[in-house]
Amino acid sequence: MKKVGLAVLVVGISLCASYGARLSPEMRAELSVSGMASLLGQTEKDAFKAWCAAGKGAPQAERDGCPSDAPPKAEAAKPAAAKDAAPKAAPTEASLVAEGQAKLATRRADGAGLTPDQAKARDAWLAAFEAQIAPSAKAKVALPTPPKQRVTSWFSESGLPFLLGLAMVVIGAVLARKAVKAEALSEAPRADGRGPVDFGVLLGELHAAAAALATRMDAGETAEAAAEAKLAIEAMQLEQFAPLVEARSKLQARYGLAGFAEVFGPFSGGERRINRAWSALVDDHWPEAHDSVNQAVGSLAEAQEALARVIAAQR
Amino acid sequence: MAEPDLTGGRAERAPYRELTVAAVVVGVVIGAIMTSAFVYVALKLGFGLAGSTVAAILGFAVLRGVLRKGSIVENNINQTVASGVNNASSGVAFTLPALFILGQQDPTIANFEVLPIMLSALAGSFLGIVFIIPLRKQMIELERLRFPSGIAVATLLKSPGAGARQAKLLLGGFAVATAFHVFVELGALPQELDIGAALGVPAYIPIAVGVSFASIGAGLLSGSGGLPFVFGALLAWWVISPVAVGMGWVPTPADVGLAGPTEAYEQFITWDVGYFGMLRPMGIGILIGGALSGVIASFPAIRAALKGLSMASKAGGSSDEMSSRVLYIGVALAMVVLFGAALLSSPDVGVGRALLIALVGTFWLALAGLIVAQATGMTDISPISGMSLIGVTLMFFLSGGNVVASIILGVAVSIGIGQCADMMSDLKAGHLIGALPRRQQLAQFSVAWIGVPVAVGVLYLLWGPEGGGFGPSNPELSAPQASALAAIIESLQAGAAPLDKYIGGAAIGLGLGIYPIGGLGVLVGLAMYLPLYITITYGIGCAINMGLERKYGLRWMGTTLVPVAAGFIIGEALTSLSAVLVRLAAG
Repeated sequence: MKKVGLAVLVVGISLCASYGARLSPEMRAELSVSGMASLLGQTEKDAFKAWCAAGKGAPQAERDGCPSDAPPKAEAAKPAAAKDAAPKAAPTEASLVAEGQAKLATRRADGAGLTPDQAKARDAWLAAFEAQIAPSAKAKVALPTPPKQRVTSWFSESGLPFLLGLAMVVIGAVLARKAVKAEALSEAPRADGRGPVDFGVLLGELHAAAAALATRMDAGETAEAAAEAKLAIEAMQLEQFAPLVEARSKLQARYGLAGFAEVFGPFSGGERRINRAWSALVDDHWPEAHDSVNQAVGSLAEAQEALARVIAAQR
Repeated sequence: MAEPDLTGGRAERAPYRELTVAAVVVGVVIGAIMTSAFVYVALKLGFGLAGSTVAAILGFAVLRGVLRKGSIVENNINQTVASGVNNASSGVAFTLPALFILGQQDPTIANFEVLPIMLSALAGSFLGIVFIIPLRKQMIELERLRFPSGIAVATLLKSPGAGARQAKLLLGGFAVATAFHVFVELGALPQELDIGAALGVPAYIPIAVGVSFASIGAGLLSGSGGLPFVFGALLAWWVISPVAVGMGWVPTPADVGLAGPTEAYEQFITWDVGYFGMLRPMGIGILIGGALSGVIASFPAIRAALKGLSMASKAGGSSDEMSSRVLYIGVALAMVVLFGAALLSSPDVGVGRALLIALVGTFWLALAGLIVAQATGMTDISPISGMSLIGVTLMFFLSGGNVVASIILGVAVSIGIGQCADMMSDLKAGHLIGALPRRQQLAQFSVAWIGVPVAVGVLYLLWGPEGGGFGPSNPELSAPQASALAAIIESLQAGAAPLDKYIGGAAIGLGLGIYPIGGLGVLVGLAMYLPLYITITYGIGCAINMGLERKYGLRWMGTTLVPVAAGFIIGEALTSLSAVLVRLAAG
């Protein structure tokens, strides 16, 4: 059942995420315009670089804005932020095209004295420059599709397959949830071969280990006792806390999130106190380590009581 | 054999050092220095740097080396304070410069005041910390999110007592990651191995692996829990992307004036169309829906956490947790400050609008903070820029298209969500070494705000009296993130927002929330939000973890794999930081 749920979810999410990502016709058109401007702009930049490389030393190259080999002149300090400048009137597509064409005409008129290779490179650049004038002007003034229209347009084109996929996601998730719950409630060994974990038994063993450590620590501080306590804590952290943490999903499925939180809150508090005892032992502070282990014992007892409560409530 | 001390050593022992003046002062000094430096780095390179690892190492040096009295938990306080102060650096540097940049072009934007900026940033800083109070129990104790960087910092903090074997493993991991990353920084190794290009696979079906031991380390610490993240990436790049091209959903070569597909066209449909137009905005939507469903699903546990905090308040604050009173008072005060910031941000923002901004802003900050904390907890990657962008977009609409107000309030969101992720990671480290959360939170509350005036001050200093100190026209300090935000605000002004992708994504995220894997929507959304090579590298780490766990068991994982993985993360983080400093020093 879990695998079926997962399979339904995977198909569903593939469907709804694909159609969810689909662009509305307006967006496709918008991206086509900006894409054309960007790609032709890139071609123009490449052609410009080629012309600059070929036209080294030619006066036109400098007039066209090619970077010079000469050290850059010291720039005059930039004026302060244009706080007082009047805002410019918004350009139109026609005005931008006219501006581009005028630049092109000026540059074309400035072609005398070049070698054949230079002339070829410059002509290629000017052709690329001309090709991008209109698309670039169109992209600059194009108005984006308003958000509301994007939603309605996308939904009218992709809504049905999107909703179908979404329904499959929900169905798959519900099937998997049921399967996980059933698995948690079953006492049979799991598919991976590991047997069921009895949280209560493990928690009881952990509490007993912590209580025994606390009793040993009551005897007082010696270097040997500190070293022994540190080793005992490390063993508890790796061999007793870790499996209980691993078993938390089962506990949650069995007793619900609220019941799980009731048990795991004090359990985690106990874990943190044990961690603190370890740190205090490393820092050679026996009293803090001793207190922390005692507090951990209290927290773990609280977790045991909480577990008994949620089990009783479920019955 | 030594005589046992039957007094328990209490008579001559000072209390265990934890929240001390030394830890806080050292943390503030380290944090303020990092903030100043990292604001500059963020403006120059476009990314922020986390300071926890650096702070932990420097804390060791000062508290244990110089003062000769630092404890493990005291250093945790130092590192919590330092990274909390430093959190303002990226929060401010990613958002606020957009206001300076846009002000240069539009005189109506240029006349903004510093007071609302400070108020907004402070409100964000406090809100980020208070929202974490009830979520700590949920994310760290119940969901057991990994927070790989938190584990790495905890491993570092524990290193004095972890034994020679673990120290060697930590150093070994550190050395391997450092060596590889030095080669990457020197250009001898690529950042990404593009296997697809070598095989002739189109760019829109990428097959690539990042050369990053930090990503592998994060995966090693996450294990099977990180697999949905890889699934999300494969769904995005190996299903949606080729389907979109194959079904003709993207502009054809003819649409963009080309006779046939070229390399530039492939790059255009992969990144401009596929990634920025489709996957990224939908990933953000899935993140939001996934987080919302997470809140709904975790409601019983969050309610239990709040009840616990309430009981702590009644018990007179003796608990390890901050009381719920701090949460409620903190949220109320921060909302009032946010309201003030909104009101002062622009004369066009009236009382009603300011109130709406404060309410929705606080709600969004809480949700985005949850998303970022969850994403960081599961993968060590935080979508702060995406969440800040949505925050600014929300503020833009709520303020009636007021650019100044939206950026000023966006600063609060950016700082607040960063604070959530940072605090949660520090609390994870704290849990692993046994620190008291209340003391960590108290320390962060008391001094995290210091980063705000430092970061804003550095920004004004760099802008200069004549202006133009950073921005797209300044190649020295191009402020890439803020320039991108400025461009997005310009597009918002023109009326563009990918609302269809956000709504569709949110619906998917909500649906995924039903599946019995916590945070599935957040993981899938985050994967769509990122380029594939980052996710794949992380996935390799997850797969190695699963194989090793099966072979060697949990104990071996704890004693062997964790220090190696922590070494990977620390090694790459420190090498990246050193490389940045070397590059800046070399001009």
